[in-house]
Amino acid sequence: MPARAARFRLTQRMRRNATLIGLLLLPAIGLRLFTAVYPFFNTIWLSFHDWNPAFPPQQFVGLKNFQALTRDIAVTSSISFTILFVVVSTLLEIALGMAIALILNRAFFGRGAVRAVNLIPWAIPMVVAAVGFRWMYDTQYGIINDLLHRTIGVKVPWLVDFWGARAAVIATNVWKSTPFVGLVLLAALQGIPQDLYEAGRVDGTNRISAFFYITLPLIMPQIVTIGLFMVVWQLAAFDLVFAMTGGGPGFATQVLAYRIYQVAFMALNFGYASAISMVLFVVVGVASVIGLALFRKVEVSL
Amino acid sequence: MLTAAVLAFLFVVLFPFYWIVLSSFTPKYELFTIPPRYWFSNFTLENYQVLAESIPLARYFVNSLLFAAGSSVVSVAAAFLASYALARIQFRGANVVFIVFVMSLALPQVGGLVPLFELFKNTNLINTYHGLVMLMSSLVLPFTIWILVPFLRQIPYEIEEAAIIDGARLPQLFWFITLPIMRPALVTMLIINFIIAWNELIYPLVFATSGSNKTLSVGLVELAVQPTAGGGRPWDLLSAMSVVMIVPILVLVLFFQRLIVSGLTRGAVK
Amino acid sequence: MKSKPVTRISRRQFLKAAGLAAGSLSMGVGLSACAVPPARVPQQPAQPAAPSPTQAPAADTGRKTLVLAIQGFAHDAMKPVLAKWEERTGHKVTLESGPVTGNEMITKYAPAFQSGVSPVDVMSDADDSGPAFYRAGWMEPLDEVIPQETWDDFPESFKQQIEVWHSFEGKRYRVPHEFAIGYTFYRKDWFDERKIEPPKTWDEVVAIGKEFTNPPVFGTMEALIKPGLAFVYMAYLAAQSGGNLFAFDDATAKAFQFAYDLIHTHKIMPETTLSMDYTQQNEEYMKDHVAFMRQWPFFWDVARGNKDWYKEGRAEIALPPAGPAGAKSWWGGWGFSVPKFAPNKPEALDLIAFITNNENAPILAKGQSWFVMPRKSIMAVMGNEGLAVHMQRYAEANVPSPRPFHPKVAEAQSVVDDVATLYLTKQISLAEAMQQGKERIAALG
Repeated sequence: MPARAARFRLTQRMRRNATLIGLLLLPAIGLRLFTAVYPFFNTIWLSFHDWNPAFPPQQFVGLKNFQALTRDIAVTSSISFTILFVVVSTLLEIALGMAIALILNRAFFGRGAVRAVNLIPWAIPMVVAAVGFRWMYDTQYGIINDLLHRTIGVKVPWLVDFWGARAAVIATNVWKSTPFVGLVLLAALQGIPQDLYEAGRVDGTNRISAFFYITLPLIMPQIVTIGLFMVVWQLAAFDLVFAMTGGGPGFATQVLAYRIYQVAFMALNFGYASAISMVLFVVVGVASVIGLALFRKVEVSL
Repeated sequence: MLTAAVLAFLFVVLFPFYWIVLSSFTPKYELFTIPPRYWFSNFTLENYQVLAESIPLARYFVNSLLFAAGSSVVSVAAAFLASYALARIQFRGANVVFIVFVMSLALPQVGGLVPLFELFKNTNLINTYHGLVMLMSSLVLPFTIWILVPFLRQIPYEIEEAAIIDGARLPQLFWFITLPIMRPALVTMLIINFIIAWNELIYPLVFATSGSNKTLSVGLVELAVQPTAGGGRPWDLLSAMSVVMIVPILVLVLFFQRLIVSGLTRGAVK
Repeated sequence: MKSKPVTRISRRQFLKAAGLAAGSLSMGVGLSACAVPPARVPQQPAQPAAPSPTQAPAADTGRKTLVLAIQGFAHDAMKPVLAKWEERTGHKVTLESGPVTGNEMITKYAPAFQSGVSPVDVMSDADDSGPAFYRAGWMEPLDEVIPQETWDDFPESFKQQIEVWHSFEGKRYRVPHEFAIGYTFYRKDWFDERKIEPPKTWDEVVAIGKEFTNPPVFGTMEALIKPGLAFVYMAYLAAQSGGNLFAFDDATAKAFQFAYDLIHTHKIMPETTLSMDYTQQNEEYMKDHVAFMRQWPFFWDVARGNKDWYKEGRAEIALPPAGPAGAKSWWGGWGFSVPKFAPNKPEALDLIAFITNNENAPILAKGQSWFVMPRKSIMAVMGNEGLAVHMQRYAEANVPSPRPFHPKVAEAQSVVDDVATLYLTKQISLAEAMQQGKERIAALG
């Protein structure tokens, strides 16, 4: 077979041609080294320094920044809200995303249009969602309080109250991200062979148990993948809090990513910001390890 | 039951947009009424006019466009080359490289800002389009590779094989065979990366500090986050600017719905 | 062998992108370059009386183009003064929109200054960025440049502020061009109706506030949203209580406690102010929901510009109420300065002396209320007009109190902001607030 032979020769030649492989990978690896790997290591280095460009010079201070971290309410509150924000958001997104997927998987008039609508929240900028919802949550002029007032006669000072602000931020995030999760889960649902359900029907399983015994186990790998993706993605999220609450009231909605930005670029305290970044790296690292362990359990391959 | 669920879903997703659009065409003084008005009362274009006068809207728009288009082209180009090496040549360690690429998704963007800022300052990349494009394309690169590699692996090798037997060299092979075959995936990623870059806030916020490089997202945040500037958050302008920002995205989404969905879901579902 | 063409593909795409970027860049540069000459062209034939600049073009080498960065809304007011200077010297000045907050000043200019370059020749600089800039040695001292008569034009009460906020180690680096002070606006119509005077003490604030409070109407309101606004109010109350704000001393604790009581104990200020910004605060006032409040000078024009609502007596100005340390209100503002690395430094120094002199300060003030200050030259021209009357009245009553100073002012302010909102939203106690504040200020070094 000449074709096989040619293929063999080509791949052999290519495999030995390290230059070619290198050149093909160069742009991608170069970009990642330059903008992700180098900054990562340099952040570690900077976190042991006192460095404020308006107050030179740069000084090695050992663990000083890390000691300061432990006493800084801004940071400790950020850690707790970041974790709460990510865990609650992700769980809600998966539950509601599942509901969306189940609805969109049924046949009804105008399904194509509804699926297109489902894409919109994913596609718009987070800052637009943040700014829009901020306005809708306004205690006095906001539409949400007006609707609440009309239906159950209460007004909630959403962005003033400690838990009100937290709920509002998480709800906005869930609104923005759930349709994306729904989209992925819908694709997963579509991949389930229909005859499994028919077999189930013959055995007399109803819809609800079919969901728990057939659907859920089959799409578990996708749920775990998208869950981990959302966790990692949202741990670094910054725009929402920045444009919606500024971390307030107090530090009720402060997240690590925004705190890093504030300390670095509003106060120019580069050394300390790097130390807070290390906390974020650790949190992401822990989340990834847990995620990968789950991967192994449900046998996901990349 | 199903209809009710669909309607509830549509309401929750679409109402905020309706509200933003409604506000953007409502005169400023009517925004602060209790109860709020649910329908267009005094339709006005004034908010857009004031917006165009108070910030260099056209400039920001062009900046966003260049930034998003540049980032999507560069990222897809780099990802295409890399995926060819990873999917076709399958050298020893290719899979490790692939996994490392995908895992680098997890490195939080905001954690590397400080060193990047110093690096960009020293290399005079701050306030340059190519600097911003470099950052942004790198950010979306792992995801793009994650989508392209499995796609390429699925495509049978036979056509390329035939071309090689006919004596095609690698550049010809890329141009005449591989690129056309991969076109659906590449176009999809171009669109998705364009949308992601268009919506990006952090990089332009930090690395485009001069008025001539700011993007729409930065302009919006500046209006929204600086209560001391004009005295408050000008919701009239914010809603108008939000509309300006989402209209191009909506057009893309409605036109390329199918492509986008296929791209977004391919990563998690194979 | 095959590798070369491969790189060419990527390089071609890179080049394409780079070309795109470069093209648009040069387009932008071209556009902005074009924007200046057309404006100048009609001026040149119109000035036959000024010989030096029109004859100068032969020796074109001496002609410089300077960049002056200032907030966009002030550009129109600057133009006539700049035109005069251009005429006199033959140089050109390009106006650039400067940042609108001190934080943004730092973010935008610190990196450039740090690498020894400056994108601007003259800039309008904020209180919360200036001190960091002079400290770092990035600004040009102005003592030799600004004539004594300009300094003498400022009232006596400015001396201390100029020493603290505009100087470093005995040298002056910034010339104030704005005087922003928190005024007490009140409903004279309501007060007259009840035949009472605006509150003169903290006790009266509470008593009178209670009299007016009947939700949605409240005695007073103050927008406190993050970032920045809680600091403004705490500094205001601390000025009245005699507190050294950044020391978080006992008098500062009194100010914090007072704010807390207004909201939670006496309830004459709604809890929602914690999420309000100035627009919302003003809207509340103009919805007849507020009897009196502290607000920046811009509200004077906002209220009078609201034609449907405004009537005489609805937004009058009273002296602030007196706390333990008297009737005080802090002031601050923006000023002009010249970076050490200004590309055209000699011309920039000449320009800054020109735009701040006693002849031009009133012209700027006439053009834009942002430039109105209690300078003698300005008061001589507009001292009996609108807000300037109250400016003088405040100055005479010795109300202006210096803005709380810290070398890392932006960071120190955000500490106050953070701690105050935590306390006012009941997330920590007063003692914890003071403790946190002290510790975090100490950590700034």
